[in-house]
Amino acid sequence: MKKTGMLRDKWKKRLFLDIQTITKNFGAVEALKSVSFSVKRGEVHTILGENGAGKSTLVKIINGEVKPDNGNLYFDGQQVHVRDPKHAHSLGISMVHQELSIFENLSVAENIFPNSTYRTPLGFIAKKELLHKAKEKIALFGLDIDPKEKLIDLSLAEQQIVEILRSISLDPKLIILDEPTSGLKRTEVRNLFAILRKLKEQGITVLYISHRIPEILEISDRVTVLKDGFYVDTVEKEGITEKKLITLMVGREIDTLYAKKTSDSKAETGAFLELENIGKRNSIHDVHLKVRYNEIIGVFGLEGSGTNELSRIMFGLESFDEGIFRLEGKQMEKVTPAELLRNGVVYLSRNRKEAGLFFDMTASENMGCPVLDRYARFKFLDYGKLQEFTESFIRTFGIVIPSVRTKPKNLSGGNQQKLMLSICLGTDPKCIIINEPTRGIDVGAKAEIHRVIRGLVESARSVVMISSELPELMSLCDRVAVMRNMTVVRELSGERINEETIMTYAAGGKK
Amino acid sequence: MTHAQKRHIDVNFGQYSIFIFTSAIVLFLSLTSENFFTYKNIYSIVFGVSIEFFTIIGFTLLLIMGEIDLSVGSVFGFIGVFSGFLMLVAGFPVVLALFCGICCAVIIGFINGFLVVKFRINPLMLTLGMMIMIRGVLNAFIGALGGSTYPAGYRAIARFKISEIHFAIILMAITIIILEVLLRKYVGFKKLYYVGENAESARIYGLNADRIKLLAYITCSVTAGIAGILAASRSGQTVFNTGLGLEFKMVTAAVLGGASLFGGKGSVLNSFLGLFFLAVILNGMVMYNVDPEWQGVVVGIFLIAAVVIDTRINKEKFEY
Repeated sequence: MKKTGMLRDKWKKRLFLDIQTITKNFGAVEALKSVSFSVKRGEVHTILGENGAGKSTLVKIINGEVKPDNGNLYFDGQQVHVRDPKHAHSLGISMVHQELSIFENLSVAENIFPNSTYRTPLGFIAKKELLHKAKEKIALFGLDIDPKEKLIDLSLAEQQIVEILRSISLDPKLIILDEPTSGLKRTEVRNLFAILRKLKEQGITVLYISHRIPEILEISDRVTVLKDGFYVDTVEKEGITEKKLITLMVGREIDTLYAKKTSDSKAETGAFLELENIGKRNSIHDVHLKVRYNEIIGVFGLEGSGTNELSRIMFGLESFDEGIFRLEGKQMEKVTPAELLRNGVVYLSRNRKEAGLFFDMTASENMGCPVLDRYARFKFLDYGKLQEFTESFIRTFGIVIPSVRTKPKNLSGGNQQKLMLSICLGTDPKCIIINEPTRGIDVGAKAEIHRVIRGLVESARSVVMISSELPELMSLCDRVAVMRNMTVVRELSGERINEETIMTYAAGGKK
Repeated sequence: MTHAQKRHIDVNFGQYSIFIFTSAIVLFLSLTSENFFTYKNIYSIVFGVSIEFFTIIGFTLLLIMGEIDLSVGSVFGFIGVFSGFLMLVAGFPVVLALFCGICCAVIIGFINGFLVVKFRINPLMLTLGMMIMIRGVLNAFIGALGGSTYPAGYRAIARFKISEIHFAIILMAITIIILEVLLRKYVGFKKLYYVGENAESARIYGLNADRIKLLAYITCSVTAGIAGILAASRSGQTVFNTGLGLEFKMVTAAVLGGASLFGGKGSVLNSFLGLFFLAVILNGMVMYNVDPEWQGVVVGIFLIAAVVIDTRINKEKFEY
């Protein structure tokens, strides 16, 4: 008796959070298959895995948002059945979701303490005390944020920090961060990590979900890898290397993440698409850009440099006030998506959640949208032919999907992205405008999408690739146009496509 | 992925629930009331539905696109009375008067659609304004006509029968079958679903969402006008409050039939069943001697219930 008691005491101390044979199915989809591992008190523990590996489901179970089908959860020495996030709060578990849940029109202080923690005896909010407490919290992390400022006036990074401050305002023992860096710049990530280290000093355990390996290397004490709902391994601090993590994550070794360029220099060919002096009020101005036949031209710019505006104008989603838009040498009178599609130009949407997919329609209906007339006889859809067409793309791109009737909402991010790319390529385009082709997807899918993009040029098509990921641009593009202050400041090619040169122009060192 | 299984069940429920509800209520009334399941009673229900039915065609098309037109009730009343007015006061022959009536519906639909598409006005508020405005014009026309009886040629339309079955019923049956096929397979109609599911995606893939919306608004007014002509022909004279509250009956019926206020879903057959279901309920209330005043309460309850279910099924649209 005594011995087991002692053992339990020891176990209690070491294993702060113990996950035992957790299983969860969503219909036919097995999200988690008997996953077991444990988290030590006061560590930064990262959960790494491709999209669809089960990371989010697991932390949602810990936070009480999803009920497991099977398995046990021990937290702080007790077996727990977390009923809902509120219950999780009372246990000392706090979670920061990928999507921010902030009150834009309220102040920082009100956002940190949304439950009106500080009240006067009459039930009004004690403003002074609220501001004071908020200041304390902010100062604790050595930050420079005015607690009276409204959230809408803050940067994304600052908003994220406010959200984290809120989650620790209830003094949790465990804080879960679900991909907190996805919208942040490098310096902002550094600030975030400083906060995480502070939390660690205070003895708060951090469960950190991410697939950005360099960041994981920097912050993690231990890394647990999940794959396809299975637990793969937990790597101790000493054993964490990029190569090791990638191998565990994708189950195979990837020599280089990025496909290699086939050739660095190409003979001058004519322009397929040409922008001359394009400009729009309160948007981009004086943009010159030539998209040649069978080349990949990259467009890079820091946030607010106009890359997104340019891509939308290029595909006729927004109008422009001045300049000339030429396609295969001919000036286009009406630049609309429909007109461009007819001429062989397609657009891969930047944010698949906003546009680019029909989440509640079947995969083959999705594939059919831009090519309705091709798969119709006398204007009547031929679903059989459409399904064959869809199947051929599913095979070519290795989309993991139960059937052509599956809806994108039931697919993982990487597969959604591949399906979206398939819709675009299904039109058999001559030119594809790609906006952030690999946003928020895992390395495996990323490598495959890069391979596809590379292949496009080899079959004599032009690609315009707007991306904020420099390595991606550097390895794939024949030329890179750099944008700053709403215009293209420089075009680079060959040897000059390197991180230093691109950043110098993008950040405004040289003209 | 979290909602995958739950959603699956919901979707089936949404699509087929109206068949189940309708069968259940018909079965219940047949068993408890001996006057219900007679040829005469069922026929009169179907005939009643067939008069209003045309309104729900355009209305469903708009719902598929996530749009709405609250002016259908007023248009329904106005076009019927306006056509009659042209015959009685201006002395137009029936066919010409009806043609002018339909043209008038086209204009109203065009104004609705144009304002929504061009100025991005909230369709709910815009068509609410249109509803009030046209109701005002309608009342003025009714005031001018008094309780006049329409010409015989006009009255004959709703009474026209083909081998003992009213022409309106036959037309309704044919329309349902044709539209069922078209909505599933015809490219032009398929586009409605794409636009309703995600208008921006549809635009990226080359669909002209604005033009499709404009056409649907016009269709909606025209079908409401056709139904209004049938209704005026059936009543045979100007009736005050014609089509009052019809728009809410249409929403209720369509959403009960699985259409969604969030767009992307809906079928004319299902919407028809929604209408039929409501008609059976009201008929059942008569059988049980419930005061007609309570009809509004029942339609209201079903509208709220349908919208609650619709939001529960489709709330994830906001979560993507």
